[in-house]
Amino acid sequence: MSLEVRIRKQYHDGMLDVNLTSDGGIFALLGEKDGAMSRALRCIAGIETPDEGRIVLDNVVLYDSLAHVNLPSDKRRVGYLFPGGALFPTASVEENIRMALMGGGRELLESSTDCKTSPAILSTRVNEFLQEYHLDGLGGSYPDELTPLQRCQAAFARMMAGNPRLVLLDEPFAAFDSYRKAEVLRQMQQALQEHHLQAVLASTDMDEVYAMGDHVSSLHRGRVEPMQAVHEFFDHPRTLQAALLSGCRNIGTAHLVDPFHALVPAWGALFSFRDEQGSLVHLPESLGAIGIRERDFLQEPPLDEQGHRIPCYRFSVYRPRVIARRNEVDLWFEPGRREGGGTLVYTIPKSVWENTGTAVIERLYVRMDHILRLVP
Amino acid sequence: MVMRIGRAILCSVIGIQWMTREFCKSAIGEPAVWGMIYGMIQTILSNYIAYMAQMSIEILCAGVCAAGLITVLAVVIGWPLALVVSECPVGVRYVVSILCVPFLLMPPLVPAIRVYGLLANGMIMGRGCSAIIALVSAGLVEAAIVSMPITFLVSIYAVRQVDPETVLAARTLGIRRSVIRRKVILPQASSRIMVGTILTFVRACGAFMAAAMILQTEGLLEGTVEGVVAGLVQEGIYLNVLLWTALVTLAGVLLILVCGMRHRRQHRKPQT
Repeated sequence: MSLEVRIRKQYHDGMLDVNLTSDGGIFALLGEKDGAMSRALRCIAGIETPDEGRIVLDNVVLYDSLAHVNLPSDKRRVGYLFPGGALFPTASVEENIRMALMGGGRELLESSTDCKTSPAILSTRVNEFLQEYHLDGLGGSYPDELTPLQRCQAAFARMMAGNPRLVLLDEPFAAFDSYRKAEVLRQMQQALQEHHLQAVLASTDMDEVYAMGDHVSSLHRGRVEPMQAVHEFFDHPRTLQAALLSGCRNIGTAHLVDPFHALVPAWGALFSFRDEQGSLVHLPESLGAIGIRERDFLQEPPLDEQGHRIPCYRFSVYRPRVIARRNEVDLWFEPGRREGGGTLVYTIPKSVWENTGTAVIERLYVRMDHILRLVP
Repeated sequence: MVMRIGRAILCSVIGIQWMTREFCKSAIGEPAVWGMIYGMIQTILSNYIAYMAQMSIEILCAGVCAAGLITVLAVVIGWPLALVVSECPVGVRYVVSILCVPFLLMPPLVPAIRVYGLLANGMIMGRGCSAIIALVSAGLVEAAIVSMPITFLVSIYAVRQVDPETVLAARTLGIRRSVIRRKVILPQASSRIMVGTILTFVRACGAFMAAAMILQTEGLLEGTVEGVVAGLVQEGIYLNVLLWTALVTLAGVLLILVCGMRHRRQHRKPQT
């Protein structure tokens, strides 16, 4: 299972530039609500045609501008789950699935490709799909009689009935509250794993991406940034946009003082980094910002297993302000003595906060290897 | 007295036709049932008008048959053309649609009445036979230049109102285009197309009733419908004109309001 996408398309409001490769699993695109993610997915599905580039799925060329190859969407076997499901409103759930089976899902009908000669097999398969995707008793219902959750399940079942090789999920959970989202997300993940299907998930929600994705790329102003494994993406994002989208709230614009030192004026801090041998690390010329995750602050200097101090940065805490949330507390503070500088936020679990309180926090520490060096 | 009533009713037919056009523009997106109700009302009115004008049963039947023929012709040409054109590039759609617009703006009865007037005057054939021929020939003219564009525009509008994501979803599912047209597009557009078809038929009926009445009022054989209205006003039958026009307008406005309310209720956001 492999997917290679290298496409460019000019839109009236900007350029779409997608460059990604995936060797299976669920690839997540994390971006803003600017429509660029949907455009990228639509190009892969064949709904829109890129200006140039190449799309290859499992060694089958779907689109190649140089070779003048452009498979129509009904020949690509790429399933597309639209945000609202896009069920056929005049057909019942059963009929929706039946039509998909008679379309791209003909291979799933065991005996013959002519469905008219095998209505029994067709009905059996439809019932199997209804059961598999938790739609028991809803086969005769019409889309406007279903809840958003059931609509999404029905649309997913229909898409799977179309026998896709690749599944594109275009913000499928946007309409759900968090409880239902978790339920559908688990069901979809399970179905994709069981069928060994490759998927591309487009989402603006980092929790969805974290829960579902194996690899992640951020999409900024129509351009897909380099792919990272999901944990790496959230722990060590490489770009400023990736850090923002992955929820990093402490980001300061940095200027290179020399090849080894970066200054963040807003925090009044000069950063340098050392490798395992203790040598200064050469900073990238394009370094644009320094980021610190709000949970990476420590109240005590970090020590390794032998009790040696781990290299870290120390921040003084001035003018703290506390904003309590459901399970956590945000401690906003200014790292500089001078008023009006930049602010940082330290997120503490409520249980820890109740034991400590602000009075004792005068300094905070961040491990050097947890500080993010971000390029634009 | 009969003449006066006939003329007043003629004005109401013109009013109904105007209302039909307005209704067609505003209520294409409404459910078929409202279009049918409106169509039934207008059909009943047309028949009532014919009865009041003491129109002969032969002419009445010929008129309704011709109106049916017009509708069939318009539908047979208009629907497939709309389905094909709706899949063409945007430029083609615009050009074809724009080409239809002048026909809609044309006073619908003018060409029919001209042909009708020539024949019914007995200039070409004897009066009895020419009336039937006149109705049919006028019907063909009507079908070719007015009703077909209306049906086409209604159909293309209905197809364009189909949720495009359902069509795209059908394509990504590997469903054949002919199946998509038959099972995805047409079922979604059918209620709107039906409204348009009913209105086309009703409108055609109305046109023939008006034409038939003109036949029965010797002095009004020549000239256009606008001329007829002007004549009525000149003769000072203001009360009848006002009464009928007001009634028809009121009925139309009420119907449009009800349709609007129902439309809003139907499109209320479903609860999650």
